[in-house]
Amino acid sequence: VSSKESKDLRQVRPPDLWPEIDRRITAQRPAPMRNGARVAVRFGVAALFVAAAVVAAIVLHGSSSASKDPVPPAGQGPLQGFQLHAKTWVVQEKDARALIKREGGPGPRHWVFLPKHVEVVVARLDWTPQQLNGKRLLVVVIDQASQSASTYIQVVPRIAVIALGWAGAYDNLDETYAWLAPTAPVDLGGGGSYLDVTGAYLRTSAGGRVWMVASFSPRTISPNPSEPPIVGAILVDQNDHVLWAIQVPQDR
Amino acid sequence: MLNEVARARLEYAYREVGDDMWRAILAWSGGRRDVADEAVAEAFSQAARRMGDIRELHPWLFKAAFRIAAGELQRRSKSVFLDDVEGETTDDLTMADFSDLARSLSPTQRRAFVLRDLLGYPTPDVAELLGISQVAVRVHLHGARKRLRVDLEQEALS
Repeated sequence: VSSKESKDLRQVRPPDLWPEIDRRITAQRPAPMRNGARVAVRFGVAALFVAAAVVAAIVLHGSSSASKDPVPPAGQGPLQGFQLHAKTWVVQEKDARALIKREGGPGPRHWVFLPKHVEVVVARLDWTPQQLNGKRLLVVVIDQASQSASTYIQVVPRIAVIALGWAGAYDNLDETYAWLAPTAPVDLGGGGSYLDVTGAYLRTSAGGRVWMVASFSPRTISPNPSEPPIVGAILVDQNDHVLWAIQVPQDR
Repeated sequence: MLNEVARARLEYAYREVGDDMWRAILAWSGGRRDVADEAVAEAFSQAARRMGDIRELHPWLFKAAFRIAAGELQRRSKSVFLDDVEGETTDDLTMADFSDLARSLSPTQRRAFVLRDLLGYPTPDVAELLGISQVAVRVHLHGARKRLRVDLEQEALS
């Protein structure tokens, strides 16, 4: 059956549909959002996260405004079920000095270097790849101390697939989508910057388990150990609407 | 509006895979030319609106075309595998036979079978076009062939 029908199928002459396709394309309305608008939206998102970071900073300092914190902890917020896996390190001061010397940054005393490496895993068991497709995960580093002192901040993107690196969570890995190179760090002003790791995700066959992973190494040096940089991540949709945000906990 | 570069890229893609996509939909839908025409044209039309978001164009187009074809068949409320397709099939293709045989296959099994065994795509290409792993393609193919073999034997006995 196969060989006969295959031969038959190959002999069928398809119509030239390009004129019809071209007509439909021409009939389409212009895209609703131009580049300028996209830039404006992106700046809006950046501003939104800066605002979120400010509130988070207040929370960190013991304010009673925790209930208004727009950055929900893992597993809470409007999109429940996400998980976070993050590691941060505070290196010894002598190591920080050595790093500063090697990196060529400014060298006041009492510098702290953190975090060394962060992995943000966004996961939701009941999301399909289609639902997550097109969403973007932005990772953000905000240096709280930048307003008061000269700050050397550098975010080094290091996006990598860590599919096999986390507690067997990738059972039945079905497909690993190509990771796009992240954008260059975008300076938010005031010592903050973010990386746009557009479209990075994995998907598995069993149960539609979907993961979005960002692994990066922000090298942030703060002159004030009591004001560590804030590291966070936000998930936005195609229209740059914030779906979910989280602040990486500081393990000190 | 789609810029000229994107439009050229889309037309190039159509010239590359449009015919095979049409044949795949034709076979998958049981030989319905109108469904194949609509699915392919609409898939490319939708791709034009999303060019900036599509990373792998060919797989996206195939998946979209299959979905649109499925929607078309559903919309018309008469599955090709339940209807007499005579009069709407091609003259030079014995699609009705395949339709009868493929009645028991799952949609993915039919897609894999059409692309691999009827159109002759290599397994890695089928996997890419369907957005599934090669292992999954082989599993679907194995299931489809086994099912078809059983059906053929039963048909011969009857």
